[in-house]
Amino acid sequence: MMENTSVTIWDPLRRFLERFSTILPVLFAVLVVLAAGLALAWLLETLVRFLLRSVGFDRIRDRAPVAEALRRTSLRQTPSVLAGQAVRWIVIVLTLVCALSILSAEATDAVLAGLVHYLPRLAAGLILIVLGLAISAFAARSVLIWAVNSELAGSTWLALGVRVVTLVFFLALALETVGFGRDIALVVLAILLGGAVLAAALAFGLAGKDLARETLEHMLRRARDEDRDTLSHL
Amino acid sequence: MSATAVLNDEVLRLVAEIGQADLVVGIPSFNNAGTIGHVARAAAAGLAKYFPDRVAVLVNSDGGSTDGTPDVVATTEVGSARTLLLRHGTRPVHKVVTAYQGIPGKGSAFRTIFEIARRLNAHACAVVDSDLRSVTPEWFELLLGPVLHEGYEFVAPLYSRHKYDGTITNAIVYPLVRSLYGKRIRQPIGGDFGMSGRLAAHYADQDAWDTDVARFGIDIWMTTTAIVGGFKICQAYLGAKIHDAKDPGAHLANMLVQVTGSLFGQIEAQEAYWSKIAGSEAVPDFGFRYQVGLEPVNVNLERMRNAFRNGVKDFGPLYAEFLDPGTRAALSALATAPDQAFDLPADLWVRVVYEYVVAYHTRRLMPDHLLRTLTPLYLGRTASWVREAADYSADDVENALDDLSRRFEEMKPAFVRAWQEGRFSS
Repeated sequence: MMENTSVTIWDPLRRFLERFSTILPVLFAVLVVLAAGLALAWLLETLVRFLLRSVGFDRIRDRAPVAEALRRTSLRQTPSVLAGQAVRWIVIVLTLVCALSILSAEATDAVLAGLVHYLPRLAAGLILIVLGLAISAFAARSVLIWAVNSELAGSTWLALGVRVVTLVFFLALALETVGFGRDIALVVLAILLGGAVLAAALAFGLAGKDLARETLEHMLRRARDEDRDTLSHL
Repeated sequence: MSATAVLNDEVLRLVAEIGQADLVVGIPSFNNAGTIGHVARAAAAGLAKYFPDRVAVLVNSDGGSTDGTPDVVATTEVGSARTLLLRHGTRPVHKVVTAYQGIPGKGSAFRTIFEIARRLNAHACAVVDSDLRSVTPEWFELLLGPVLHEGYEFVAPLYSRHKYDGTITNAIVYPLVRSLYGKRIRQPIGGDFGMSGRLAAHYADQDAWDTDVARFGIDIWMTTTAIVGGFKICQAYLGAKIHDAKDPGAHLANMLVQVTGSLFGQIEAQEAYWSKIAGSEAVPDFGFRYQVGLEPVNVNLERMRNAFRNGVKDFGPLYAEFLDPGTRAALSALATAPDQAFDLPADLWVRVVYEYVVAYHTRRLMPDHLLRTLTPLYLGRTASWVREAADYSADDVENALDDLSRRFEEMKPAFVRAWQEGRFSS
């Protein structure tokens, strides 16, 4: 009985300890690589940021195309901070690959192969998102300026709406490009536009029919006022 | 486009037939059939009355009108002595009616006129708008006479205008031209100018005809090019300027973009000239000044003030990109002021205009967006001016504009520093 107990309990435990003792150094090595990689990433980010700042790299922000690009993508960080962040993420990805290679060379190969296969789509998705940020910011600003100069009420909300719709559209496109769901862009756009038009029609026509009448009357009254404004600006 | 390509074969043949001319009067047009006949008759009468011994050519440079504008000019009688009760014989006025080549716009139309003046070896040239209702034969004596008799090379117009009219000229263009270029030219974008044949040829030679100058920036370009080129400049008093009502659909923001864009573009291009200028000097006047009955002007002050208030609120994040914090604080304070206390003072306005010029130069925003955000601020200044000038006489108006322009001149050194450093220091 005692012998049977020893075999059923202690043998698996011994085997586990034997296996664990062989894995432990590997896990430790992975942890060391991760810690060193993260520390290196932080160090390099700081170093790159400091060096670029000290050589006056941030001055490129004053150049018209760079300034416009940063504004359109709504990036508020300085160019040296952005470069530092890029370096940090590159080092983190490389660290993860190294850590994985310690665990299993086959797994690393598989991950790298997948990454290489996936990378173009990921890059295209990222480009779409950056493009979406730029176009949505530009469209929103154009609409805001037009609406304010046309003296429309709720100009900022209108501009915000345009920005959100444009951004969501590009996000959907990026997701589809990356591989998350087919036809998602079309569906999202249909839902967004259809939903917005329906909501506006219901809100303005049913829930706010008095407001609709007053708004139209106000617009007509203002148009007549403008007609009476005979000042020549030039 | 080569100089020859500016003129088509038919025009070249006509010019060759005429050979040489003393005077050229150019009328650019686009769908002005209702008014251009009057302008052409006034020009012909002026040439016959004041320059009977000179060979003169009337040029209509048209932008592809569909209402028969060129036909009106072609069939307008320009040799009738009865119009002027003349007894002496006059030389007939030659006519050249042509569609201009190049980018559609007033500038391309002028380029054709300048090229014809150059080929005819003209001594003097005048250009007038085709939608004028108040043009008289005397305008042509006043625009051409100083060139022929006094040796001037550029004649800018002077008009009698309602005190509320011409606010873009009064609040932005005149003070900036005066303070930066140092010449007190009261109507730098008047549209009706006289010039020597030499200056017309100088204009034709410039490399500007593929830019916005060809479309809508020709008036300020002509004025600043004449100043920078060192041409002798004077002004001629023409009386009231009454022209066809503009297209009611034409938006103020578009107008501001065109005018300020052209002006700021010239300022960028001519930095080497204006950065050395300090103060300003008067420009000689010609013509007999008289009182003119002006049509009343209606202004909706409430709408202007509201446009200013909404603009300051909604454009806040955009203004933060290029306006100084102190300027923004002053504008925000004014946006919350009650109607009775609403006043955008001259000093603040001068600062705003200069900050826009610097922002345009440093491209702090896309130029079109930047210039459009000026609309509410301009309306705020206009509302303040209407209130300020309510009881002003014509002399009071000129004194107030002189005072505003002096403030522009006083702030010019700070502007030059900001231009070089990229922004105003608080």
